[in-house]
Amino acid sequence: MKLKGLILGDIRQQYKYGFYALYTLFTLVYIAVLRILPMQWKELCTTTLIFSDPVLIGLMFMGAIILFEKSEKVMQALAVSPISIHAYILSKVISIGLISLLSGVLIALFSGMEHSYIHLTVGIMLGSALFTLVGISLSAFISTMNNFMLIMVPTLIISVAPISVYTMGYKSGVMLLHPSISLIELMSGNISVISLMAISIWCIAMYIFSCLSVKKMMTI
Amino acid sequence: MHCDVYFFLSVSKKNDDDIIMNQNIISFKMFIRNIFSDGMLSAIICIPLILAAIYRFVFPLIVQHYPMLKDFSLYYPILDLFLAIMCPYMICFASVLVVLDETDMKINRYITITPLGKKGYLISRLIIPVLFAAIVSFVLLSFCSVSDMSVWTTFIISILATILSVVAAMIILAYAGNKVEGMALAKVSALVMVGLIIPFVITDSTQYVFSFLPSFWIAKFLISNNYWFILPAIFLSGGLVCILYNRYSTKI
Repeated sequence: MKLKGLILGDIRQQYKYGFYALYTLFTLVYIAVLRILPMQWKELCTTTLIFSDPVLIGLMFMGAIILFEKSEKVMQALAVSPISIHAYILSKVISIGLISLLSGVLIALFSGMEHSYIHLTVGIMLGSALFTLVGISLSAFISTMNNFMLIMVPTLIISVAPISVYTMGYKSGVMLLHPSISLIELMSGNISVISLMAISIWCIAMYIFSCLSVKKMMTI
Repeated sequence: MHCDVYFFLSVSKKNDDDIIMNQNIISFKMFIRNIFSDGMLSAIICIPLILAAIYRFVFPLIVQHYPMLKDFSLYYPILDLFLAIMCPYMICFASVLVVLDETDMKINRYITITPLGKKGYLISRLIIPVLFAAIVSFVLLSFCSVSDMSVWTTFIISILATILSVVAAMIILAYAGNKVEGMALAKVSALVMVGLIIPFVITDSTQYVFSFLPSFWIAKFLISNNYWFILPAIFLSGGLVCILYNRYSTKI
């Protein structure tokens, strides 16, 4: 019940601050771009576009969301309320995941390509959860927006850059241990035990880190 | 008597102007200290320099290694436009983030009721930094351009790219009420830059669908070297800055 209230609160906040409007606009722009692209580029570009924007929302926006909550003293209020750290984190993961999923599936649906929607949905949900958890973990170490940018941009590069190496043809099995590559493979419908295990381990590790981060923020 | 009064008034006016100018500088120093303390200033300085070094030293080697890249020389100006906008856009973005931090802490309300005022606040946070960025952009572009632009074209492109960065920053400042909205609007403001590549990729008359974007005319100017294209770029940017400034000053 508390989790439901938190999720609804987060969705209301995201709606109020224009996340839904923004992703409606960007989904339309991406669909238009994908429809113009030639067929041979479409498959690769659809997955890459979905990965590079809707899946990464959590990483890009979590710093701003948490800094805003810090300035509004939300953390102190939550610390004395009966809401657990797990509920706080899950609410962020689910609410952001909803935008990622809606935007990602719509882009795939109208891109003019056939997709394995089960794989795509699982990939988007796991990816969105992972990067939201990364965003929450990083937010404990920041005090200003510029601070967040300085941490977020290298993280973004580390997360996205190996994909270009992989798509250019360097397809070593070791690379599947990188979460982004495993996610791209999963979203493209190429499921393997290594990639699923890699994503799961990364998600669990990031969940533990984000729990520690939120705990740190609530005790300050 | 009248002469004395006029003299006093002129001195007083002069002193007021000096005080406001000093306050602009002090406020600008506060901004620099702010971005220096969290390392953002280093990033703003380093990233355009690294990009320029890549253009100057690495790009010729890549072209030498892959001669087929010469077939794409028509698109080299896009790389130059990217370099031209990099420095001012980064400094504008850092300014916006500082202003958003100050908005959430309500510091900007206190600053704007001091003699610095709304205009002074914006000058110290956005205009003075961006003037430095324009100079850096011009210098980097002069030495590291990959499309061999003339000095005069380089100068104009640096100025126009700087004005365009101010437009992008003003979009965020005019509509964002806090950091979360600011980050969402940062993505929207990046769409203003889309016009920079349109004339290169859409060569028929369909390209004029994007003619409402100042960036479209900047790219048109670079492609054709027709100085008339500077006018719509300046008028559209100026108009947008005025509208956005009015919106910003009523909001604050």
